[in-house]
Amino acid sequence: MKEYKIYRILLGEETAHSSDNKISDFQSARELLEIQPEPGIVLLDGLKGKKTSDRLKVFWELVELRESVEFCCAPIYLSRTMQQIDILVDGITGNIEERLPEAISILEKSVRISRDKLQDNHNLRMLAYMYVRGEEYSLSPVCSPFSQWIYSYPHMALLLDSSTKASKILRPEDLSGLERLRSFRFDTEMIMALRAVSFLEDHGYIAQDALVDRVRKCPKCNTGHLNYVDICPNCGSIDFNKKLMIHCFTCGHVAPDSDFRKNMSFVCPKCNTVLRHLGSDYDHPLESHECNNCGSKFIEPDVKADCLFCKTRSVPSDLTVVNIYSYKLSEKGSAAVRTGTMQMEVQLFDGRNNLKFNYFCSIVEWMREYRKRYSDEIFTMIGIKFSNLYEVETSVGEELYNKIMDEIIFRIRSMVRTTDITTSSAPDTFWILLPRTIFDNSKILAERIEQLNNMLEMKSENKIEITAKCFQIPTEDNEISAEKYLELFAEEL
Amino acid sequence: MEVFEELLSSEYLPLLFEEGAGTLLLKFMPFVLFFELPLAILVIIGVIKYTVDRRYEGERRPYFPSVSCIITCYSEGRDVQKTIMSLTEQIYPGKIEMLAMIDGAAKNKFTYDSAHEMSHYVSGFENRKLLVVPKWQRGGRVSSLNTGLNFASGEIVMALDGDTSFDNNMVERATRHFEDPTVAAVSGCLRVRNADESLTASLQAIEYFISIQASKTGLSSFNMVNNISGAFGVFRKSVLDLVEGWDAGTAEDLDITLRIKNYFGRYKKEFRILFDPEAIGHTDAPATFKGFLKQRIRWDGDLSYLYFRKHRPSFNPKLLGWPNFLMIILTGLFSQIVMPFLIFAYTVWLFVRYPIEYSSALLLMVYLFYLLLLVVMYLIFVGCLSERPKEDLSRLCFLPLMPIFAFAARMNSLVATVWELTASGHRDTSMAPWWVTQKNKF
Repeated sequence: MKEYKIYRILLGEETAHSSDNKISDFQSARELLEIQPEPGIVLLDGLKGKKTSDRLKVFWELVELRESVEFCCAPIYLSRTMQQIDILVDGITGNIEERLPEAISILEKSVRISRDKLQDNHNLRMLAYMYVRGEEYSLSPVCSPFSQWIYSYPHMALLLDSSTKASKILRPEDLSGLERLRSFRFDTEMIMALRAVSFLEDHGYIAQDALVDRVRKCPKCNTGHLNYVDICPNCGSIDFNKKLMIHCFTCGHVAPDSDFRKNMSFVCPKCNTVLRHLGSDYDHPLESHECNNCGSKFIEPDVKADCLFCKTRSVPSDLTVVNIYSYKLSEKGSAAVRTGTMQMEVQLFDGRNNLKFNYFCSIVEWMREYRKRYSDEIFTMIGIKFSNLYEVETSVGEELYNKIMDEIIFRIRSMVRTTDITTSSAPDTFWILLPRTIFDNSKILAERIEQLNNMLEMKSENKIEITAKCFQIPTEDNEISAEKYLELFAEEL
Repeated sequence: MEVFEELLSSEYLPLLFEEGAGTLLLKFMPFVLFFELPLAILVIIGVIKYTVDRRYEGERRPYFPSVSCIITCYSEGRDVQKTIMSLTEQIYPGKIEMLAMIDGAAKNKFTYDSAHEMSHYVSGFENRKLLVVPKWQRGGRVSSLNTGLNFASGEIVMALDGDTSFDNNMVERATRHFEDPTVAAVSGCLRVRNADESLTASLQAIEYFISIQASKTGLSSFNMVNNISGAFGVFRKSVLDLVEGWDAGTAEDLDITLRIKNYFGRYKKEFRILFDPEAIGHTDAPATFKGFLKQRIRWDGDLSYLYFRKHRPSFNPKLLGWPNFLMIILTGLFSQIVMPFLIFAYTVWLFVRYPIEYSSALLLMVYLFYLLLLVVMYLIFVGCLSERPKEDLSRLCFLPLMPIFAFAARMNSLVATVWELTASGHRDTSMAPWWVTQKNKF
């Protein structure tokens, strides 16, 4: 087993862990990062954690470590409990030796990950963070009742791109008092982490593990602090009273009890009978309410949800229902970590003519046989590949990316005839089978597809690179299967 | 009717009148003249006095003390819900706390559940609180009341029965008197809820109206209320604390009345026990005649037990004050215990002394005298007091049966007294289990 370094960051005098020649001490995360360390285990020590300022100090060291490419996935331990910080690290231990097996297993797994790929890809860092912690690792949401996001994923928040991190601007030393505490809550980052997690889920890199909770959020501002109020259905006022209705047995008159009140007894306003005993002189046919604002009478008040942040009033059924899950790394996510690339999945084709890849291959096989017999039955294939979807998505943002892709997909689909058959062999690679089409005609079509990105007015670095090429399977050769050919063609794309 | 006609036409009837009015009166019941009539006149004057006072009573002042209602429940079942509902819906701005004490809740699970079901209902009302207290072991009514007293937080404590429901102004009527600091307790007025169920029930409704609603109003005018109803008593909490609650044993209502009287008598403090005919509770009376007789045996037995055994030292005018002493002698001892004996003895004497026709005619005269007195009183009382005059007047047709009914009740009472004096019948009371009554020091 390889020996790994243990780096101790000493933030104060109160060490819980004894010095050891295996451990190298540093004053701060910055000092540690300056020596460009090799992979290792980090132990944060020296503070008692009783004061908020202690915990803040530890927190910001942790932010700095997780931001760095060296320690974004590394095993990090605390020597003492720091309360709310505890969930952000791999454990609390007074004796790091005890934690070595699990820490080394994390480090062993990170050996396979290339640091260069992690350098600019923060989403990949998140996947790597989960990957190195093993298959059993589950990314759990954390509830913070006073935050507007209520549930988020602080582990992901720590790994966000530092250029977008609010913490870069709001360093703790620049802040004081309450503001410092607020920054500790990490609000902006937590919202970004939520988006990052939903991005990773949408693209299949992580998969839902357990349903942890369900919260309802304001449809306008998306915060979850709602006040459910019962209101007058007519004017919406919350100022209404329960009205007991009285039914006089003598004459059958029904009216609110206030109409019957006369000093300290009930007297029927219609027949003047004194109503003395519930059940024998009168009863309550129903319970109703009267609004003190508009005076309207109603049986059931409406229930509405008032957003405590933006004051929007919503019908409970209109609230955004959000299921909160814990997540596991998916097969695709773990492949992305191993290869260091994140591919974007595109649903280019749909409908009846879009086949699964192995069916598509069988049809190609059949066409090839068909052509052997009837030599005039020519068919060609076009391969299409999008090569920089992920980069474009990260640079232009999700919204614009989706617009661009919608446009491209729409145009490609309009070029496909109803007799053409389509498939996809990889998340970013697509095939069109064009029966009764000669090579030259297909070539024109392929060129038109390649030109598509030029039609969109985009800066050159944001352009989606589309490669489209025309292929023909040689009929003479029976040795190589259609699938193999497609593989070979894909390499040319 | 045939008997009456025969009697009227009989040759002995003229004999009655020949002897002259004086002798006649002397012969039929001297105690009517010396006892029943003065009492009736006293009550009538009292009722008229009350009616006049009531007319000039004026608006209620904003005094609304908090009220705790100890509801003693045993096997009332769903009826307890009526009680709780009628208390919840009182027209009273002050706090009303209901303590439903379920005696023997393990056995009376249905009553316990019925009371519990009301929690949600009560919570919808402002200033109303329901506490259901299960007493798993049966301990009797007194133990329920005393347990309830521990939970009671109100200035006014009401001892109520789980089978009694109340008019919606009951609390308001009952509490208003406590503004006067000398008022120690108020006795509530009971009416028969199931009056139309049977003839026996109708007759009891008349009896309740005269002997409770009217008589007690009359006596109350002269501050001579001699009993705070057990099914419906209203106390100032501080007074209950002074006499340390109820005592084990039977007829705890009379017992606590006597103890309150004793207490105030001993310390020569001015105090009053009132009766309010408008603080009304409705309770179920036995619907069968047999049930009625059984209930009365229990009550009357309890009564003589109390007078003869437990409270003998209390019969002291210095403690009770002369009017109260006389009243207890008259209404308690005399009318309820001595009178049955006298009536019985007189009737026997009458039939032994005179020929049967003569004595029958004499009894008929007695009957007619009583009926006349009854009709006059009933009409006065309905006119002055009844809050449901139509209902009460509809029972006028039953009045001719009342003297016979009362006679039967008194003979029954005689049996009860004899039973108590000879066999300590109060230990058989159904109000408390034997292990409680056996331990009682009296």
